[in-house]
Amino acid sequence: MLLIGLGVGLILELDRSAYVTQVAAAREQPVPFSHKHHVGGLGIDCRYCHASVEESSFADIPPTYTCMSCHSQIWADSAMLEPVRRSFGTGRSLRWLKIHDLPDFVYFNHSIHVNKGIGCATCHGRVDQMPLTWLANPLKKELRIADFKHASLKSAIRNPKFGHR
Amino acid sequence: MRDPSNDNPPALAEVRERLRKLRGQQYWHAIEELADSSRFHRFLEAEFPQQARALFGAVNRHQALKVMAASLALGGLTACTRQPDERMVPWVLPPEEVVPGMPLFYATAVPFNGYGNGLLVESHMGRPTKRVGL
Repeated sequence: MLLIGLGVGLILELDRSAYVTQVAAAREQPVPFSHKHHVGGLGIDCRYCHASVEESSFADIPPTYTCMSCHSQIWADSAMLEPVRRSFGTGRSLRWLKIHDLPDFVYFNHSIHVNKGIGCATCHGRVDQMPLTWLANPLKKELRIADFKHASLKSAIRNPKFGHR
Repeated sequence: MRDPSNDNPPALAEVRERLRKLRGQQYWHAIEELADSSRFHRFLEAEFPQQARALFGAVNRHQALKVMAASLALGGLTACTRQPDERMVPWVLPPEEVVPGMPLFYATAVPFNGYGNGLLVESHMGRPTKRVGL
């Protein structure tokens, strides 16, 4: 019985392990996009590309057009950006690997969190320091409970200044 | 191939010896009757330790339930895999006024009975889900 208990405990713990959640694992993408360069280096705001984060449940993945608004001029001949130009030329989308993949039964709304004063880095970590994007926190229940127990966030949520839109 | 008659363990030899003396209906009714000697038990235990226990130890309800519980508990193991990878496929050229994740309401018209009838349509990422009017 003890053995079974240990086994079940091990399995539950394994489910939270970095191997399964793939926390801090930089994954290969169709284009090696660096948030560190674009956000940390150039200082582009998150919302320039993730445009709907303040008004929608979904933060938005930028269309190829957003990339080309700069890269038709800058690094326009770069071999690294060939998939972007091909996508723009053929009209076929880039297929990015989803790093932050919540289970399908979870409804998460970005806008309510951002509008109530919870910044991107609270959950996503220092994306401005990530050369390739990785998962900073396993998006499990523990993280959400820990965040909402945080006193400063509690006061931010209670603050009447941040009313419903 | 070894000749099995050559190096029989003592227990089997003894059983054979016993059977040789018997005739007709005297042989044996069941294998348990024949095997029910302490020497045979010892031989069986030495040869197949686990089977001997299953054969001569009592299989009770408790043990059966234990085995079933273990299979039930381990049945959940099939869910212990990594989440499969998913791809995100954004637009190349975004359509105007669509905010991903938010419904888009627009006014349109359909011809009906020879008239153009006004409609208000709710659509999610280009898929209409509700229309008001008509």
